[in-house]
Amino acid sequence: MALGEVHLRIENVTKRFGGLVALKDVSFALNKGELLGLIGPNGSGKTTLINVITGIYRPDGGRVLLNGGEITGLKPYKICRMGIGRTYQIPRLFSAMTALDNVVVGAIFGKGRKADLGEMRRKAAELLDFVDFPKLRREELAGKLTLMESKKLELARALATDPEILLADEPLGGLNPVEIDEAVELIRKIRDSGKTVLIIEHVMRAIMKLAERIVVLSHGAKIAEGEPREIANDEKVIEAYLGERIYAPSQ
Amino acid sequence: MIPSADTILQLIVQALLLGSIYVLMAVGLNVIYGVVKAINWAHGAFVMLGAYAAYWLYELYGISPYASAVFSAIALAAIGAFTHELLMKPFFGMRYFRAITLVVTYGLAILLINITRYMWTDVLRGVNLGVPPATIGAISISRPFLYGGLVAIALSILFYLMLKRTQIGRAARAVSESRKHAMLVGINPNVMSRFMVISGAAMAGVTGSLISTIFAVTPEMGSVLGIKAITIVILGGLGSYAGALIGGLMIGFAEASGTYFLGARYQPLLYFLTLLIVLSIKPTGIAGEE
Amino acid sequence: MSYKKGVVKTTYIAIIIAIIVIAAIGGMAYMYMKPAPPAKESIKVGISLSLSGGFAAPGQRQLWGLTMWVEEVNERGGIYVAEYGKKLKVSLIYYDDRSDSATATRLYERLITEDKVDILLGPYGSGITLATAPIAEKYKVVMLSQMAAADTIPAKGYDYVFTLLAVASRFGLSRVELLDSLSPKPKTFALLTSNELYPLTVARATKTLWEKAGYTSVFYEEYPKGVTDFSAILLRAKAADPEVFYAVCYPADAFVIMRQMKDIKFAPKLIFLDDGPNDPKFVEVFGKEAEGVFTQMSWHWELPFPGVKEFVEKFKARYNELPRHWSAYPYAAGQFIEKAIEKAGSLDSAKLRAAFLELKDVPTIVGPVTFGDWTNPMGEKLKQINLGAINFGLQIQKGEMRVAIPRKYSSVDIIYPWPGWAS
Repeated sequence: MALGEVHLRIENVTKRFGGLVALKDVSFALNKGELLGLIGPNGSGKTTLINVITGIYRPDGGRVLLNGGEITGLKPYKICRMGIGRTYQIPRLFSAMTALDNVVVGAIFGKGRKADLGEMRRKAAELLDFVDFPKLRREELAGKLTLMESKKLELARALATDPEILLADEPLGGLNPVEIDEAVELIRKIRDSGKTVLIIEHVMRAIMKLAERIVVLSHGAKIAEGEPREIANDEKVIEAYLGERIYAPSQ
Repeated sequence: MIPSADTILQLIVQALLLGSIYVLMAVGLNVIYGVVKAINWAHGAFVMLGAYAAYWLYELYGISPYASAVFSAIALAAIGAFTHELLMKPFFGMRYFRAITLVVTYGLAILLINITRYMWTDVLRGVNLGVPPATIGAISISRPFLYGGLVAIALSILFYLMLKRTQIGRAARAVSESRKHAMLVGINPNVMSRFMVISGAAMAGVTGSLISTIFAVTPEMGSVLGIKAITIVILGGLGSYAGALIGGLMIGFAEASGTYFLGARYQPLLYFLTLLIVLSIKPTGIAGEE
Repeated sequence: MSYKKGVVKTTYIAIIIAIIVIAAIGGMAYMYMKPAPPAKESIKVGISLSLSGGFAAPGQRQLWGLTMWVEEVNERGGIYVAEYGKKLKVSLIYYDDRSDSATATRLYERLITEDKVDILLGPYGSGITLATAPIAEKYKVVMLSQMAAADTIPAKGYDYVFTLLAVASRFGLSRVELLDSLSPKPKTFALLTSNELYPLTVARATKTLWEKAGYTSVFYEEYPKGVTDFSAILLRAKAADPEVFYAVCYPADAFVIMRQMKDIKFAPKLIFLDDGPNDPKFVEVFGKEAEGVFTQMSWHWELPFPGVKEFVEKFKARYNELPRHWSAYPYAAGQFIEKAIEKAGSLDSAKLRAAFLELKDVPTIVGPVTFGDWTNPMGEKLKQINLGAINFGLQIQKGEMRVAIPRKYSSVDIIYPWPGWAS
């Protein structure tokens, strides 16, 4: 598959919870090798969309296509094995297991499953190094890690499943400015290693710097799509954020 | 009456052996609880079926219960698979899953015990290997008890290591923490829960084989042992292996020493008190989390 | 997907509910199915039997014993009843109580009010008998209980209930005779008993009588239901160093007790286990180690009472097993009823009751039967029990259960002291 081809397509996805419409006819495409930002005010349906893509929720309408094949409504573990990895806003780790084991678990059944446990552990260790996880903390229980460590670990675990696409839900949330810079670098590094990345973000300055393209959701509907500079000046987007200031890339 | 040093030593050995059998029962129960979050009330009935399998194979074909433990394990694994598919899986994700499965497996226990009673009646059955006890100094140890205890401890450790060290063990632990998050790293939780219920049931089968050489084989043992196993698991902390070990040995000691020093009639009271004291200090059990 | 799953769940629950409903309807239909009304011109004997449920095995054998008596008496033309001036045949009316007291209670009520039976036989077990005896008393119909050994029933003082089987407290009588007939006589005993009502009665009566006879108790223990391991109990009994070890226990317990006694090398001079060794399985399982162990039975196939031999042969030919007290006692109850009706010359309950009390030493296959009142070792007054009822002490000799106590019915010498554990 060549760079620039559509990797993941969201087609007219609608999701309701009782009377509440969480997603309204959302469509956009994620291109191969792209770093796409998905933004929107709180409650705009960003996380719901990720849950639909990963199979946690079944949409009430519309389809999700991976490399042109429909994956709508498949079980989450099947979608994972087809090459979509995911991280959470608040890292959801297996807290009673060590950091290393958390990554190993990802390597057991994910797309890049290995037969041999030794190989899995090696791969897990490499991934932890890749995300710059402190070596001394590898055998620590995941429940005892700092937020930054947890975020890195969750990234490593998601990468262990060998995804083609990584869906990162607010990877920068809760981090201090120094940590944000580190995390931004890390996400770039992941993209540069050949992954397609969809990043949900609330920290605007960072996303404007990071993303090549941005999709904006508001009240469950897509209100804008385009390059960061366009988005920052879009009237509808500014209105949706109700005065929340949107930063354009500083250059 | 002050017991002699030898008697006390003998009592300790007895408590350890009894406790180790209890540990195996509790581990089997925890294996299931850990991943499925269901207390399998029928565990004691599973143990009973394992014991009957061992008894009949010994009685009809002269196969030693140690050899036929493999058969008991396979037979119970099949029953475990059935239990998972029909009595647990339909209720996954339901709000009162724990309560539902508790009631359903309780029903299964009653059913199995009564079928057994109907088929094989209350007639006295048991495997008497007739081996003389092992003697160390003034202490004599029942060999079936000794072998049973050793196998029980070995199997418990083996399973613990399996969970800690192997791929499948890690996946199982992941599912036990969260079915949802395990799915997101590619684990099919139904496969894991089926595997664990089958494993737990197979362990019950082995426990039954071992017990057939130590105690009498009756339909009633199904309910008696089931309640004991549940008591131990609650005492030790649901889902905790360390808890199963400590709880099992603790009940073994409480039973042996309580019976010796206070009298057998206080056994039920002793269980209750142990449970009451432990849970009032630590409501989640000795090694329980939260 | 989720919709489909919901349907599966609903279907599943619907199937379960359907099964329950069908089972309930079936059960009710079964209960209310009425057999054809019995022919007139016969003596109607009514009984509720446990033909299914927990007591199905002994319940079935109870029916076998009764059937044999009914057939025999009818072959003889029936029982002569003076009031009618002719012999009347016996018709047995029975229902299955499924081993359940509440069901049995309804069935007895029905036997009396609808089937209008002339005399009642007791059901299986003390529990069901205790529940149903008040019905007989209420309607003043004679009930001859044959399968209940609890003292509590005759202790109630019912006028119309008679207890044929040896009550638990009378077991002690033959235990005393056992120790008295040993030489040299033992001095000390250890007694272990299940704390359920029936074994407890046996144990307490025995303990009282043994102590009265001069034997010293060095260990006494009551164990609750659910004890699976006896090692600690036996360690303490061993430490007390008794000459006689007596356990009033259930078969499964006897099995474990025997095995664990060996494991801790506890070898008293006499081992008596109430239930367990009286099951042929016990000898099979323990082989030589069972040799010399004592046990008990309410009846034995080699007893020298008239009619036993014929009964045993006929029973064996017909049912392909040795008869036990489950069959012998119902048969003997029939033998007694036959004599009582002849004596009363009537089927009137009051007259029958009077005949029951007047008859002395009626020969039956369970020995001579005489009904009278008796005060048990614990001081309870028991009404209308069989004063001839004996609980037999048996000893395993050469792999066979032999009658050892009472000595007057025994044809073997007692092995004493017990030879100890092999190897």
